[in-house]
Amino acid sequence: MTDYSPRVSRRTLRAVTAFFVFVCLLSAASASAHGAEYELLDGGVVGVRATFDTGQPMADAPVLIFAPGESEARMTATTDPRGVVCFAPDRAGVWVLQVRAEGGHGLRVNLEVEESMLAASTAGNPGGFSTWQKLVMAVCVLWGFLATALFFRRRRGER
Amino acid sequence: MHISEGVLSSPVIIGGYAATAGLTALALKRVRRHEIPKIAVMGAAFFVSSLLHFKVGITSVHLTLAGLLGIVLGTPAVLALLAGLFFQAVMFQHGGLSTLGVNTVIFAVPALLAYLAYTGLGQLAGSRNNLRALIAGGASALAVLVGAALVLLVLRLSGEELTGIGFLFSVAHGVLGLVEGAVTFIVVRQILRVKPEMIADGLVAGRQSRSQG
Repeated sequence: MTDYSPRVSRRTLRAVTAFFVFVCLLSAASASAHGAEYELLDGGVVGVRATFDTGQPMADAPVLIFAPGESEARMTATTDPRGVVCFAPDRAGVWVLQVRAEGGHGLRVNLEVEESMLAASTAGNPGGFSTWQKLVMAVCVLWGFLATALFFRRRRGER
Repeated sequence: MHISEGVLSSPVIIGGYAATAGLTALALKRVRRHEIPKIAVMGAAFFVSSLLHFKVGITSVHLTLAGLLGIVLGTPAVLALLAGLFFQAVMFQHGGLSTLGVNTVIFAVPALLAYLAYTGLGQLAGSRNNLRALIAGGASALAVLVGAALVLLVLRLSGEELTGIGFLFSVAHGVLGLVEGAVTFIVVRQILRVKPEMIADGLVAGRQSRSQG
């Protein structure tokens, strides 16, 4: 039987490796996020508990949240069964919360947010990997694939 | 094309794993020892290509190489795809471990269809290498569309509402299909020129070139 197995020369392998490293560099340079990550906020969250004057919580009420000086709501939220709503402001100033309870009742809260109340770090990507770390990871995995190829090629030749 | 964690419903996830188990078993049965280096190298190409994104409109796509893998490797392409997807999920959260089964199906089915199309139509082309490469390019362009359709189907089965996003996704993958078809055409033409026995149906092509020489 004729042997049709691909014999990859050392030179070809070197070229292939070089190509992969090049593509890795390129992809790292153009790294646009595809994966999803999360981090826990350490502080920086402010909350309000809205109640009627009877002490009964304004449960499941829609809330409009306005950033300082903005006339359009930054976000909408809903109070939980305790009447609590939380958010994480991204700058200092007076934030306005409009809670709309049933039956035309409602509440308007002016919330003074100081610089010290903001989350320590909301910028950057502290939990994720840096471009260089990703590059090293990619090259390691690639080496795993290529070494597999080399390993099985070697064993064939020795037989 | 990679579906992330937490998007799919459990029946779809389990079904995906079941189908992947079947495909993997089939691939393991077909694989021969001397093919392993080829599978590993193509797996590496697949792993890298998915890290390289480019923008189409507001969404971003990346080469899948599913069609090319199918054409070059045949059924064992499933192994390369499974390994590549596993490392993408573990290292870069590209895709996910729970969705690994579904994602493998999304890439493996187009790969195998491209393989079947290429081996079927390739015989008509005989030893005309340009025509063969053209068939390979066409098959892998269609493979991208099949993959995109599978993604939409899987999302639909999981109860996702698809309106504008589905349309945008399809258009983006239409463009990607053209790019991928061109890449496959170039690669396959080059392989046929210098190492025709490297292609999955190399036995056929090899015999023909031998009888001619």
